[in-house]
Amino acid sequence: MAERVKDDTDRLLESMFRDDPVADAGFSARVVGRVKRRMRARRLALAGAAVFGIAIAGKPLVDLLRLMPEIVRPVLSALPAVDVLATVDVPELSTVIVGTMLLGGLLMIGQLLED
Amino acid sequence: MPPDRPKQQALDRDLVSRVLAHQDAGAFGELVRRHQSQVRNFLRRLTRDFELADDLAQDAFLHAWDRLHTWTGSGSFIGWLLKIAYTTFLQSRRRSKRYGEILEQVGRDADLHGERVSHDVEELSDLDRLLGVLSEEERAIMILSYGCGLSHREISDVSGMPVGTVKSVIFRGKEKIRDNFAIEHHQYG
Repeated sequence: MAERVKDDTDRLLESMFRDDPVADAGFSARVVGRVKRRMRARRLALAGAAVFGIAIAGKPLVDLLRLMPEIVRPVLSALPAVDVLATVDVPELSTVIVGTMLLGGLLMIGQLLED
Repeated sequence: MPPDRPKQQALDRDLVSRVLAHQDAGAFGELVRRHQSQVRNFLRRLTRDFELADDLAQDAFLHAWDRLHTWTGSGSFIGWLLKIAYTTFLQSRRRSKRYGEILEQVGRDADLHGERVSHDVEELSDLDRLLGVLSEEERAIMILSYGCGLSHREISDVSGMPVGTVKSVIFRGKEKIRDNFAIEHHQYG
């Protein structure tokens, strides 16, 4: 109001607008409650999407990993320095990789739910 | 500008930083507690329906939570909040017939007291009736100016109108109020 010279209408309006503050009366708690529910819903949706994604991608991923020995073995045997590795049981290696990925996925979901 | 306003704005900035850094709902709750009164008063004056106003205020604060990262900190936080509240109100009005019905009722009430009334009669203590002679846009600008104490620049930011238009709207609003309620017109200086 300091931007102009005040007249009677200004003063009248200012006095009429001089409201008592609106008591909070649980308003902010309700807003924060809705914010928290929204955050939880988003995290659950994200976790759900991650589970859904793993479920969709799991089968092709396992199939791909099963093919890995056939892809990797010629490459490994072509490398003289890593001949020893070629003797490793590669199917077991794929199991380890799948297990690690699933463990990582579960840890990620667990973290999301904990948050 | 109140003397402690820079201090209040610094506190707002601090709380916003905490919310953005840690998704801190508690800090956001503090922001809501600090500003709920002004936001709810603004919407109550605009809608004339406390229940509807409080619903809109809750929605406005949720929008604020979602868009908090867009607050640049250059203007006042309350100005930014009121802009969201005003947008929420405008969007709600487009969707709902309820607000139109309330306005019609107020218009009918104002017609009953259509003749000029003097300064000291009890009708003038009814701010809603006084605001009833204004268009919706004028009412919003007058509430932001006189009710929320925003500067012309801040009202311009909230409403999206140029500062010159804001001044014109306030001038026009005052003229309408004078015409309808016979307020003495002389400068205090």
